[in-house]
Amino acid sequence: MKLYKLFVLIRHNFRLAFSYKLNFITRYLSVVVSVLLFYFLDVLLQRAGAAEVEGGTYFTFLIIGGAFSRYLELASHAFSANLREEMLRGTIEPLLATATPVTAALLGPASWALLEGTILAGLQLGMGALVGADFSQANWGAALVVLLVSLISLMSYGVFSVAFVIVFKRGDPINWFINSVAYVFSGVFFPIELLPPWLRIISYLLPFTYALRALRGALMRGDGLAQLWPDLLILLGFTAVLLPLSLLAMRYATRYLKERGELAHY
Amino acid sequence: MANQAIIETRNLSKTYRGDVRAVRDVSLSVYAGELFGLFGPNGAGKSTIVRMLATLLAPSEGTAVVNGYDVTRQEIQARASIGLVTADERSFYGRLTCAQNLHFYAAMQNVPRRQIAARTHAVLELFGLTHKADARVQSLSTGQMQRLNMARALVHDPPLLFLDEPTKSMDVQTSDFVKALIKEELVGRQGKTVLFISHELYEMDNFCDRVVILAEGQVQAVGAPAELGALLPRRAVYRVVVEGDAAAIERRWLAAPGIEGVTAVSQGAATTAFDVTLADESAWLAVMQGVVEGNGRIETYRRVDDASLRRIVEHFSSLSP
Repeated sequence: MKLYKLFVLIRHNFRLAFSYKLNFITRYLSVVVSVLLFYFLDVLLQRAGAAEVEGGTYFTFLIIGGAFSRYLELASHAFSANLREEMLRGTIEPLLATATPVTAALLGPASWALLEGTILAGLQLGMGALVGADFSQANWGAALVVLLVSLISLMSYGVFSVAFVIVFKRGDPINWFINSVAYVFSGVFFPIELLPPWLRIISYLLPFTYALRALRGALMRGDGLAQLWPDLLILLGFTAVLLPLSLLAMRYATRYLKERGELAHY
Repeated sequence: MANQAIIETRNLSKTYRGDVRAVRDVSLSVYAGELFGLFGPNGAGKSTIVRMLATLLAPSEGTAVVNGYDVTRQEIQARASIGLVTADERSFYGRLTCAQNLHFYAAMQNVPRRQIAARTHAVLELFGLTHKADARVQSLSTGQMQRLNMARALVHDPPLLFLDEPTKSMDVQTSDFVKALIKEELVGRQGKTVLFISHELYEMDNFCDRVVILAEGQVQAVGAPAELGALLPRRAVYRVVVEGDAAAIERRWLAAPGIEGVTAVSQGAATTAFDVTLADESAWLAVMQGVVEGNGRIETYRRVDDASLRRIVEHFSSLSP
């Protein structure tokens, strides 16, 4: 896809999102609310005499987890929700009738959400830093590498969810999986070491666990790629499996779509 | 009209799950610069054919080539050649302006960046919507939305236009304006090929160069409306109103060669109306002779089975299995 087309997709979906101003504003306000929530949770735990978590304060730990959860939300919800909206609005068929590849047309509506997820995550880290999150040791370059590798893996889930929406319309298992499993077991809000060993097995089967661990390593302890490579390698392994599978699912879904012509029906 | 086929289908078929055969063995050639009508009742397969040609639906069997591109193997090139006007005029981003909507679709259709604004302006002007460029689509009337729908289909200046009931939501004046625009400007001046889909006969008569009549997914007949009329049996039915001894006149008609049937349809104080079926127009002499011999007089007469598309459709549909 041409770079200009990508820019137009992002601008178009930003305009659409911004046209619902109250909804747009509340998404950014939710960052402020969550930073405050994390701050007071930290105050409470410090009064109870809680120790440091993964080499930093619990507040910093939560801020990173919260920022990362923006991407989890993107993978679980944004791709499929944007496609559903296009279907309900009746705009997906005219889009599929353009000279844009079908996969790009189906995933394109999430382009702004992807960028917005990054803005919200950055905003959360920035606001956290203002209120007291400690990034003095942060290795931002390594964090960026971790984020990029994690994103590809996360996007695979988004592609899966779009394939599910095309075929089943409702009942997206990816949404359920991330909301009910990933948030609990990948260490977004608490270290996975708190889980009993038999439950921790689930954590080790999730790519998000490694993504978060590496991200916190880079941002809280200043770990470089020399320390982070085991987690990065596992993440790449997950991506090597998930990405082709998700693209295969997408290929099946678009074939299903063309054979039945059901996209206009919801 | 050039002789080069811009749309070519061979045995194009579509079978949905449950063995529902929506389109069966459709073979068609539509020539460049032609205004081609796709006519048939609801469920005849018109929209399915258009969706297959627009690459939105995969054919189950057969082939289709659009502007030289195979619709299954060269999808993107085929789509770039087509402007599709769907029957749903609301299929826009209602909270964005007309210009923003058209800019978006122009970019998605690979219109070069520098030409997008000019193309948007040109199509808005063509459909009389320049004053609505900065208005949100949701503020437009249904007819204006349908015009915007056509503007969207033309924003990338395609050689082919598929119009699925484009005048459905328009008042008579707007519909006439749009049809004149299609025939005179788009086909006549710009040389575009138009596939015009409708289940309304009056839309096709005196408008399309050729028409394909579809029923139950199959082609029943293809040709100019006048050519299709010539394919009809030569039988003719006249409503003849006579004065005089109706019974005597009817007896003579029934005995005359070339008159296949006589039905009395109404009786007035001094006149009787008959529907007289003739084997062909030459039997009209026998009608006159019967009236003279029965000591009567013809008050009025008119042909009641016209050669319009309605008659053509009824005829060809009755031949299909």
